[in-house]
Amino acid sequence: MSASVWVFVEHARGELERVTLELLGEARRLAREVGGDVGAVALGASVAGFAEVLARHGAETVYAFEDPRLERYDPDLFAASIGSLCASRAPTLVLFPATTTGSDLALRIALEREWPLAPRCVNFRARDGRIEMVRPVAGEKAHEVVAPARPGPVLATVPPDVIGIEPPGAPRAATLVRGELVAPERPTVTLGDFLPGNPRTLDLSEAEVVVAAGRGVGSKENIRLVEDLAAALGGSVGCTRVVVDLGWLPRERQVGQTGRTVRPRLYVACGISGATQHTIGMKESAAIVAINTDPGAPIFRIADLALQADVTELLPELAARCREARRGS
Amino acid sequence: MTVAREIFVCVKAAVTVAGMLKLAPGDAALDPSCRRVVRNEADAFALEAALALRERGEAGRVVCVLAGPDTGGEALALALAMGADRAVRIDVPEDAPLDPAATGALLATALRRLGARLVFAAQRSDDGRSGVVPAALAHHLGAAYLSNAAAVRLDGDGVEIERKLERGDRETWTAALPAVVAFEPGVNVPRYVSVASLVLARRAPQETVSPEDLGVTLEGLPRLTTRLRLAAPRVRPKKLGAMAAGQSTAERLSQIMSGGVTAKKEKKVLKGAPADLAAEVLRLLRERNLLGGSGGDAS
Repeated sequence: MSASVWVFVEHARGELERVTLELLGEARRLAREVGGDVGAVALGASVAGFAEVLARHGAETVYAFEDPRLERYDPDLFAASIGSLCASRAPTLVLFPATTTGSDLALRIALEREWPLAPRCVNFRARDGRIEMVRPVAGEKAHEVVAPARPGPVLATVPPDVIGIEPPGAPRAATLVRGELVAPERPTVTLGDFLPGNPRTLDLSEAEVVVAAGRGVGSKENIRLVEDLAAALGGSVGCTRVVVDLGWLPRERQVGQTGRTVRPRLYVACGISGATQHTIGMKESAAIVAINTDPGAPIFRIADLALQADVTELLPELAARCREARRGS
Repeated sequence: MTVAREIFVCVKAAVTVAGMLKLAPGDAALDPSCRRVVRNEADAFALEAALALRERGEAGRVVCVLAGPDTGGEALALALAMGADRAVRIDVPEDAPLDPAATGALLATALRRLGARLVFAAQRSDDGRSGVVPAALAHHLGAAYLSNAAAVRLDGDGVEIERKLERGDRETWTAALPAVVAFEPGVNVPRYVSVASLVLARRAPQETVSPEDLGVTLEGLPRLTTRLRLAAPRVRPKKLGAMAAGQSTAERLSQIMSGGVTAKKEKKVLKGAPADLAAEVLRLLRERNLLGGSGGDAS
């Protein structure tokens, strides 16, 4: 039997999560080393549409489970269905994102089926056809190299943003296999309400997009421009300590040494000079756009896009363009 | 209904590396000289949730359970100082061959012996961060596993939790007892422990049980993984999704050779009309797929 490496496809709001593509790149590398193929397992109300992108990122087979009951993560149903598919197809390794859903699911399958599981791995090595997994321990001060302790498909979870995304390959087709739902033998959990997060009231550390205001915004009235851009991008408002001290925004919005540490996918710094006390709380952001009138502002050194402009002129223009682009997409 | 229900809270003594990493001969463990036991802050949120229920009269006593060597006594003393009623330690030697799943199975054996129906724990410890213990514990206890809890409500013979998901999303899960609830860090404000109460708590009695008392051999516990060795952490180079536009051939080459890690280069500060600058921002947003179609725009 060939050695397959599978990836659990995490998606939200009709889009693939970045971590899914990261895992596919890793699966492709490992499959090459152990001489196997790459599979992707997707569950949802409608997931077949992902097949094309999954294939471009390396999936040769896409196992698609489509059912209205899969709209939300149901731990018992997901674990029973994926567990049964893995039991019949026997992949060598199955990668799950170490997110709330991925971690929960991988654990349930591994414990239920008595398969090995390595949580929160940061690296994998193929050695003599066996796969060794590397994971941080002792508060990430040391790495532990582990091997599976029992037979069966090896499950592993990988935190987002550890691997990085490989560039997609040429368009090609993946074999689409329809998965069959398996009802759990003994359901343990009943799903209740679902409350979607609201970017306006969201805790800053959970925000995907942060638009932050510094003193350079000019006045309390201009905070409105920052809030407007945040709304246009579906993001949350952050600020520097000075802005809190001036009473323009509440303390809970503060980013930096004495405020929140954030790591959003996009950070827009408006009128922020970039003092260390602030940047320490946001420099890990995936993309940083900085707007400042001073061409020598230190924030420009860590920005992916440095714009010398007046916030009051640029923000309304930018908000309008973003609204336009999002409506168009 | 009477409020005789006890809540069991799992705690642990976290281990970190003090100073330079040094490994014991054989690379299988940390050298004792750099091994330091620290507070596992994550436990405090589960304990606080249990204590709050007790104070509202919805739960009876709060019992803390730890599996580990006697250096874990401090973690139990801290739990007693916060307000736990009883502390139980399963005596496990420092070098016991336990992975998180085996620890979960061991805790389950002890908790079954203690008659536990409702168990609280941290979702992840501060040091190992595997998140396996509460799930393994629930599995071996035959209990429902409720993960990523931000809040908990007890309701007759059931429990309802509010789950903390990504992007500020929340959902509720319900389950019948027995249940294990794993708490996310930061979901409540653990009470302050004064030095005086900690000093008193250190003198308070702690119960100790041995694995033999529980009829368990440590080697026989089910494990998920086997540790081959420890090593110094090595950060893997990050790959970039796409080559940045406007790079020269030399830059592209160096990016490929370095596995995507590019040297910090002098950033160009763009200036011009707002319309042009906005166009640049949109280009970046498109490139990084940040203009996602889904809503969120309330205006």
